[in-house]
Amino acid sequence: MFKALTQFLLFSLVSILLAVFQFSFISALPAWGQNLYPGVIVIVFIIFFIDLLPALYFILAFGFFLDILSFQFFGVYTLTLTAAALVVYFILKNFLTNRSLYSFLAVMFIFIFIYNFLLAIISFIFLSGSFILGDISFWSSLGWQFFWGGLSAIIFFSPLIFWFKKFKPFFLEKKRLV
Amino acid sequence: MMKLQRKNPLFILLAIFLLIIILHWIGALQPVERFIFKSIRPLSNDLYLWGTSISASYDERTQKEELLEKIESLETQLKDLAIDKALYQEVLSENEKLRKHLNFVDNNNFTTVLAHVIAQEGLFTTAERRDLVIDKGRQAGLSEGLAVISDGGIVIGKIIAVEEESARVCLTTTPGCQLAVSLQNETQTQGLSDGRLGLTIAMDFIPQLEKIAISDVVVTSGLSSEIPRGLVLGKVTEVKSESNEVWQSATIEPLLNFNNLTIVSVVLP
Repeated sequence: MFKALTQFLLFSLVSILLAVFQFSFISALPAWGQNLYPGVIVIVFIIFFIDLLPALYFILAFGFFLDILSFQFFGVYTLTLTAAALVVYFILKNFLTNRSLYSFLAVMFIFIFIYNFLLAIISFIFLSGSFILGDISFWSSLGWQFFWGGLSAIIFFSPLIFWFKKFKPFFLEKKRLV
Repeated sequence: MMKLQRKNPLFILLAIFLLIIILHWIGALQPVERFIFKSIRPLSNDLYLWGTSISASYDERTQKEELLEKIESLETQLKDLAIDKALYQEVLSENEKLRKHLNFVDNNNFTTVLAHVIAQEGLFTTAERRDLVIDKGRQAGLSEGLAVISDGGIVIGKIIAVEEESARVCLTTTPGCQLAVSLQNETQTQGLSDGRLGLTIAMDFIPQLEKIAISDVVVTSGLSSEIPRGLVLGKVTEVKSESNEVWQSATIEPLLNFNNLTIVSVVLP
């Protein structure tokens, strides 16, 4: 009981700190830095190395704090992060069963793409926004997000593999022909 | 209940999410939201200052060459300004005499509320759609439509959304952020300014008969009830005028860089 409560409090604290960090610090950086999304990266890590349910708990907390701080439609961040997490988990369980760095990178890129795509659709349909999918700056921003996500994946994959000791292959295993 | 939790945790999470949404929209979560916002405000402010200092040092390196060119151009302008200053002094003296005669009230003493910028906000990180979030809201007497100025008294934008402890400010360079303005030219041309690509301001639909010159100063016209007259926006840098067109347009350059704003003031009506 005490351990569960401690984990819950720690979880909430990490969520709110990450949300504030995303909201205030990241937004003040130059353009190339503003596309770093630590919250998204953490969510993908949790889905890949642990499971969907802890990721959804994290999204609920992180998204809630982000929705409070921002002036967007309340729930938009929680909703889009949840939807992206569910899609990515489905792909991971059914198609990317070989848990290598390549599948991790694929999961990262798919999550980032779906998250941004959903935000663009919601903005266009419900928030009277412009059709940003036709805007070059949207795709440029997406490119930077892929860069940061990919870099984080490459840097942290090995230490996490060592820590979790769940996934053996670093790269795809090569089958011996003889 | 425990069985339900074990079997359907996703539904439990979905129910919690929907409950939070409903509580927010009926206002039941407001005390919680205000408490959270007040608690994280100091941290948010420090993080934003840290981020802008990194951004400023990055900008300094890339702008050094541009600055050297600008220095040369400013030295030329300085000589012209000396003549203008002499003329201005004459006009000011005459203005003061007229005011005494007609017993005008001095409109330059505005009531302002000081606020810190704690974030740049937008669904997407595109330059033209970044609004500022400040740490004052309804509790401090702010409302939508109020002008926001820098420490030099230059208009940087207006409030477009207000919460209890925070407010969202659109910058004058943001598309859709419109202000009622007038030019300080012979005819005091009035119009509407709008942002362009997050970089400049444009004033469209100016009648062809109006004479606009480069370096004409653009100020707020006072036609909007929330924004007083006379607040400076910027200077005209380009005029687009075709003889076969009904309208002409002007491009306005803001007088300061919006990237590193950390403290602003909101002008109360």
